[in-house]
Amino acid sequence: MTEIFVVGTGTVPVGKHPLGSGRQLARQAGVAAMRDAGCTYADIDALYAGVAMPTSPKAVLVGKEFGLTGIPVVEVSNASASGLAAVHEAIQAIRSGAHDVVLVIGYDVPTNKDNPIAAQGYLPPAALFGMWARRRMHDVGTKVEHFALIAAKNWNYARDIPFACRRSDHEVTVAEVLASREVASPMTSMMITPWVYGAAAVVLANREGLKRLHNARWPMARIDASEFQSEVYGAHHVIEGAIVGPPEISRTSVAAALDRAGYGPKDVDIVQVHDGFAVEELVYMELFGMTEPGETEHLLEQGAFGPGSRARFGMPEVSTDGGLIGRGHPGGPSGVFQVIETQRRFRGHGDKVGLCHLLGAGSTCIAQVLTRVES
Amino acid sequence: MSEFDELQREPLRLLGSRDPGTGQTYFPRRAYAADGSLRETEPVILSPRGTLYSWTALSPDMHYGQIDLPEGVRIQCEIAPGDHAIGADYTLCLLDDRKWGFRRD
Repeated sequence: MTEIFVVGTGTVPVGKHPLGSGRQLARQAGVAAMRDAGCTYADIDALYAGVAMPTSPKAVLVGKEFGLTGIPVVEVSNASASGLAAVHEAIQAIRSGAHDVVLVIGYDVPTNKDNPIAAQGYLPPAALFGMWARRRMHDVGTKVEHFALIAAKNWNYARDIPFACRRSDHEVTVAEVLASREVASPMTSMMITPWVYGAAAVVLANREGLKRLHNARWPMARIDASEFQSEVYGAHHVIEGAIVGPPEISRTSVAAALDRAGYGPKDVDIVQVHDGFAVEELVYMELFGMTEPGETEHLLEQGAFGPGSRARFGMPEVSTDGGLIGRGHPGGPSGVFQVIETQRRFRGHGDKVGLCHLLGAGSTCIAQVLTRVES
Repeated sequence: MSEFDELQREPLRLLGSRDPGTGQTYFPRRAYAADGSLRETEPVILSPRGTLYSWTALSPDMHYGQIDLPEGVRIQCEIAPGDHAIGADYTLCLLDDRKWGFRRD
């Protein structure tokens, strides 16, 4: 199997950027990633863009910002999973033998305030996950405090991330999360990802491609698996109007990705998860096979999934850049940010196996498994 | 939205589809079975009563719920504001002139 490495990374801060600034932000992130890899656009074989919002700039125009070099430019859109979808397609392109070095940029800044989710006729995302939360409380006895524990953890991870949109000047507490405005009962605003924009980019390459990337440096993240699924019909299936389909899709996607990479759920050191709403992170830990149903709340109470979780509990750290709640969730770049965070943790914290997971409204699920490689 | 009508007004009912092969029932209506066989579905009139699977409130007058119908269909929609209980019975209703939903019995 072709080895595919994350060689260079580039980001701009997530936040409320001016409408229409998408090309500028994508350009900044892309140039930062190419400089980090030690290359120019002349070294890039193909550009893959992950874009969720319909009025964000077209990828071909973003590519033209870097140069007019004749390379293929592919725009991939898959709602919240657009960034990982672009990485997925870039992986396929390198594995096909067509390319050695690919630039992936996720970006989203629309030109107007229209909400693309509302335009599709879906119910408000907060409503769906409010219902997930209430059903979980009914079935398992989960308390609102458990959701607040997850949110506070992710807010506090984001404090150390320069490009995160929510950078609290103090340690965020569970009480603070619980006291924030209720958005979709029982979920409060601090348990929910904010509506923000941004851009992030990575340069991916195979071993042949590394030869032309002059700043490639070890250790590097190697993407060992990328699993991409859409829904499978099941009992009580909500076919239309679904923000995300049955939770089952996360279990099957992650299981397939881990299996392909040769790992089990207990091998994973860090997880970047689709924590758009705090209840999701709790549910996904069980679906990923990392915890047993019923023990997750107890582990949360003891501090699992936060700093030191691996050593203390044998559990991964989760949403280590603050996740969708703390770093923020612009649909295009979010998945690219997950890959960048995995690389950062591999280089700075000694983690060796990472998992990235996103869902796209409609719905799809993408799971990618990355391994730290020393040389 | 679906290309098919989803609501019958007299009496008030939701319109679904049934796959004659598996017996699966779908809402909203769809042309083919879910299993990829391209087997054509049959129209079916859905039960107007079901039980609440979960609910949430976005504001005092904006409540959403998931209602499980006896046919195995889960309807995700706005529900009339009120005191809700998971497992309680709900009935299809018009929330206003143009919008249908469910209301607790």
